[in-house]
Amino acid sequence: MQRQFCAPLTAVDSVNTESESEVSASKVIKADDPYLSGHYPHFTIYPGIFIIESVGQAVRAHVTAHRGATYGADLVEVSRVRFTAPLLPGNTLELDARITPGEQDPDLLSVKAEARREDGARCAAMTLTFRLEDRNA
Amino acid sequence: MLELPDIMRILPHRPPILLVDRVLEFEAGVRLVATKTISASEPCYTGLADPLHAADYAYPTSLLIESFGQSGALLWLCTAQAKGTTVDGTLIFAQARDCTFTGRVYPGDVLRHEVRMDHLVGNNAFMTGETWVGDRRIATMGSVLAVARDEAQLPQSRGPA
Repeated sequence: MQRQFCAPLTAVDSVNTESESEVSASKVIKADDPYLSGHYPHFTIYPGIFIIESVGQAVRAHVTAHRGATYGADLVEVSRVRFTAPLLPGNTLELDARITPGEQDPDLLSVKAEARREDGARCAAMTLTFRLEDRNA
Repeated sequence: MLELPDIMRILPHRPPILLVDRVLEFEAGVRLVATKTISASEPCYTGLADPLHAADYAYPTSLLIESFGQSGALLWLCTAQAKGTTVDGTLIFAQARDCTFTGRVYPGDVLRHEVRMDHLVGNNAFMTGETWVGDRRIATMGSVLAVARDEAQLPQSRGPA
């Protein structure tokens, strides 16, 4: 499927957007995912930064489902992120995020996300802020 | 002062995820300035619907952070080299705090990462800095922690239960 925004790879295989305040998603890490051939040639590991990309794509899918397809979600702040366990080819990334619209500005979304591996190991935890924008406005 | 072949001797990253083109300035243990030119021929611009809204051609912030992180890795590794020491293991992006992104960047833009070493303790390097395009500040990186980890000690992947 064609992508609606520039991204290094399709960083989620499936996304559950049913809940208004939460989103969950998963992705199987594959050695032939885009960009991974260079990270690294002798040892493939899913870059931590791509977990942020996975969360961003899950949030964007949630925004599309709840606000409409004309909305984009731009990452404007990484308040904190911690990477704690590696994701290697064959692993499955499972992420859960809580999405809270800002009290002052409902177009600023605060996102608290946790990423786990299929064996339960926590790969990353992060608090991010996204700004919604109606691209047609 | 460092061109691509020099950078490739220092960083283990290879295209398409080698996201630093050139190092302009370096002061051992203190700071490094590196650039990366964004091009529409990079893989992140393939497979897009056509046309998109202009903002959806913005370079992914995840890759911008990675590019900054690689500049930080260069600061650490070049500092070690200048002191005649080595950093054992692979550098890993361990954590970050208070990073803000205030502008979009597009193909043709040249990112200029200005990275400063806050402190370097054993296998941990705390860095800070900004990313600019011309005189426009794109990102402010409050604190980034990189750690050196022996690959053999990385927990190995386990198959699905």
